[in-house]
Amino acid sequence: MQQGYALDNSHGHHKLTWRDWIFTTNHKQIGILYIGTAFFFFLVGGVLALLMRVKLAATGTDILGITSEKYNELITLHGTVMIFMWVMPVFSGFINFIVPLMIGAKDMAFPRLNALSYWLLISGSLLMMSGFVLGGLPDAGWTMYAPWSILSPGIGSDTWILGVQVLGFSSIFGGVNFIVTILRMRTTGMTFHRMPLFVWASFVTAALLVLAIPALTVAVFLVMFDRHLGTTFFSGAGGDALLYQNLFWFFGHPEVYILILPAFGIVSEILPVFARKPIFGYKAIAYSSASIGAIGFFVWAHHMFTSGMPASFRIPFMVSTMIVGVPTAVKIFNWTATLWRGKLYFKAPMVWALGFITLFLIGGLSGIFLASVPFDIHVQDTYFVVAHFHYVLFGGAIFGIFAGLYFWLPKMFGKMYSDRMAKAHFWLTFIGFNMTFFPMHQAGVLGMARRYADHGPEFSDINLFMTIGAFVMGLAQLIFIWNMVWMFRKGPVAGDNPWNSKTLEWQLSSPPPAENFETPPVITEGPYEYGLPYGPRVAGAAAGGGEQDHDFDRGISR
Amino acid sequence: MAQSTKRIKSISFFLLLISFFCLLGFGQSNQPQTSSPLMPPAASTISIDVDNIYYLILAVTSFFFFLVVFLLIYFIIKYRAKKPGEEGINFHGHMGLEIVWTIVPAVIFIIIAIYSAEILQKIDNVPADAMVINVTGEQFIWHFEYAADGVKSDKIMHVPLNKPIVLNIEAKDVIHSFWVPAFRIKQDALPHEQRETWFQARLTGEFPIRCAELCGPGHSQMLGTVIVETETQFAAWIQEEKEKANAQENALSDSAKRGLDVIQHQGCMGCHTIDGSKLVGPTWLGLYGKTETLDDGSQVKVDEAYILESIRDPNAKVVNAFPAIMPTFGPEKISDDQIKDVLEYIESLGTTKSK
Ligand code: HEC
Ligand SMILES: [Cu+2]
Ligand SMILES: [Cu+2]
Repeated sequence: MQQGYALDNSHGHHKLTWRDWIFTTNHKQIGILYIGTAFFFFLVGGVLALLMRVKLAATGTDILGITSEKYNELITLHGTVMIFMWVMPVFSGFINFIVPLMIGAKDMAFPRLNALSYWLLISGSLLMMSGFVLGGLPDAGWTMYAPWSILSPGIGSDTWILGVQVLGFSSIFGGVNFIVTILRMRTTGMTFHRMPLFVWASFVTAALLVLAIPALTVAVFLVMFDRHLGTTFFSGAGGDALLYQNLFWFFGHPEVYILILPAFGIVSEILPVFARKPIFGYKAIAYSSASIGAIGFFVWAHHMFTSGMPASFRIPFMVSTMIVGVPTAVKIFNWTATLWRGKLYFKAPMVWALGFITLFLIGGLSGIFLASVPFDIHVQDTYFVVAHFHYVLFGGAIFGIFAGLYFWLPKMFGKMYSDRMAKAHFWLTFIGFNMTFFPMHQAGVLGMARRYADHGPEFSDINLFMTIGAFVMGLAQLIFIWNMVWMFRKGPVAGDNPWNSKTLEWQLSSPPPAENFETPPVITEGPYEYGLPYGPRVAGAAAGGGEQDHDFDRGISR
Repeated sequence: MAQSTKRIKSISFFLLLISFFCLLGFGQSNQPQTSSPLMPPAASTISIDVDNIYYLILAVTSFFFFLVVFLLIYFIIKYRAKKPGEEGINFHGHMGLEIVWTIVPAVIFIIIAIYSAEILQKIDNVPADAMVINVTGEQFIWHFEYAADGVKSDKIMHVPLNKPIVLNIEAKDVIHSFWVPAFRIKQDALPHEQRETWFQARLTGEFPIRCAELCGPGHSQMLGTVIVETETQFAAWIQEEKEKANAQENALSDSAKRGLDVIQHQGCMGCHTIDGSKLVGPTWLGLYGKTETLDDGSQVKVDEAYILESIRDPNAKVVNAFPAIMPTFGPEKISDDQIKDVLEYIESLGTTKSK
């Protein structure tokens, strides 16, 4: 990770040592640490997923010695790693690196708290993985439903609970930091309505982190008490197993938006740049993020339609779930309309962003099926649900992440990757993804239950097909890794603004100087004024060392 | 101008085509089907309604999917930049359009919600004359008890055709979920709490039961079968099971039978079981002759005197790891004669030989 990352500050060229990385409080280094760590766990979570797919490829056998006990550990860790150790931290990384630059700040509001958040991520991850060494992995699913999580023998649930607590604190501290940074550190002229949409999305995400995670904290602490202190919050004759689910999903549904809103923000950044046109309906997109965040706190029981919660609550929760679908639909229409009468350049970030729209669209539409209580009763806890949330979280969040990586990597490292490899990565992932997850809709409807270590022979063909798809996806990630190796070793210099983007981070050198802006830039217009022959929007940004680049007839050349 | 009207025409034609296909699919679905490649057999009355919701939403969502994908592809082809340095137009949005695509999805969602709520009403409306089956989930097996006849079965549930049936679902240990895909019903089984659901079978045959809530290592083996049969077949099966059960009960002495009556009357079975599983109190299976560890660490061999004391003065000796919550049953509740019968019954549950 150290490879040639340089601080191009006024004191000259200074190559960072490993000490600098460990003790850094600079938002850009912390951002890169976050992204690198998260990507490592993406690979871990991916291997766990492939092991699951191997087990499911054939019925009636324990391939590779994966018994049903081990399978339950795989599903638990896969979900946990992907959510808490890949998607959440990688977005924290993006927010760290990009948001202060975008709003014209020198750093985060609390740089040392920021470093603490990162190191808590490492500690939490180590705790979460400690079962591998201590013997005993969690096996109650990433939802840790009581009372099975309480009764499950061994230390698995304990390592999970402790790990998730620490990861939760990391996220809460991060959230507080993001909120204060966005509220207090904006440069002159950067009004709320001139903030790039990624900043809007980050702000809402941060608010959700701070408001939602405490519910999880409480829920899993009580599980811990039930396990070791003999309390009966969720277990025993007086315990209320549904209380756990209510607490968990009060966190769990906003969590879904924590995982997807930053991707919305990333795509909203990329589309205007590569369509050379302002985003369609800036305010609609910004406010829909905010309303998704708010309404998202009132839909949690849609995860519990079959749980035995009071029947009369189901209709209100169905309605609120439908309502939260509206701002989501609005976004999709706005993104599509952004392309209208633009001039589209199909560089890797754009291709990934368009893939995001298509797949997230499917994930959103399958959500409508699930909102309808009578149909949800049938498909709850089946592969239909698995398909739905992978379209949202992989097709949505992860495609958004790769779009963002390909967009900002040149800014982070000053080097350019291979566009062709990035597109090969896209197509293989896209095809493998659909092979794996599209058939799951149908499998679920036909009766394939979720979290089964073995399915009957009636599902064996479809399972084999999905496993093949998963390996296609796995292969695709090797292309990405190779592309990164190539970029760090031989990648050409990217230049300060290879995409000719108008947001602030691109007005600086690549990588940006340690202190970002020597004198705070002054903002005079919105972030997406494309389609004009000229029109400087940043006064004084040049002071930060980045060359001013308003030479628009160059367009996107690389 | 002429060109753009032509374009609008071809776009609207395309959209019409999509909607036509979607509606066609929906129209198809309105006939009750027994088999469709898209769905498991529709073996319960409610499954037809549920499937109709599915097809309705499928039609609507397909329409929007094709609409957006069509627009994306169209724009991608039409507005592809041909050389470096091109710029689009400086256009920020359109309030009218924005309002349209906020309201249209909202209205569609409302329609789907109303339709779903209507079906949900049917699902929640349990018929009064339904036959009751108590379903208990336990790691990793389903137990069934036919309330009216006292007949019990494991894993396999027999039900008569065309009769409403209520399931009272509960779990013994952790949460399970009772799911019959062919009936489109699913209800979580909660420990210590009962929930109900119902169905009316409209097809004979055998349909799988699956547990749909992760409940431990054997989760994927927690399977079962519903056998839907004609009313006469069902009655015959019940009869057969009853005779089997009677044969077992006849093995009890008269005194033990009277004891069982007392026990049922006093509600002991709310806390004790006779099958070895632990409820609020210890099981009675093999209680006699067993060496019991008490909460003060001392040990006692279970004999008639101990059991008598446990009933008359339960807190005198409290079994280790159990709360001292058993009510006292004095002679005003269980007479001295009756207590003999109770002891006889508990003894009939088997004797443990301790060293
Ligand atoms: C409210 C729950 C409850 C009810 C009702 C109840 N018991 Fe108990 N019983 C317990 C508990 C808890 C214990 C274990 C603690 C103790 O020894 O007091 C127990 C212990 C016993 C024991 C001793 C078992 C052993 O393993 O040593 C016997 C015998 C017994 N009960 C008989 C009965 C009979 C007969 C009835 C009905 C007339 C009855 N109980 C009703 C809760 C109950
Ligand atoms: Cu949700
Ligand atoms: Cu189960």
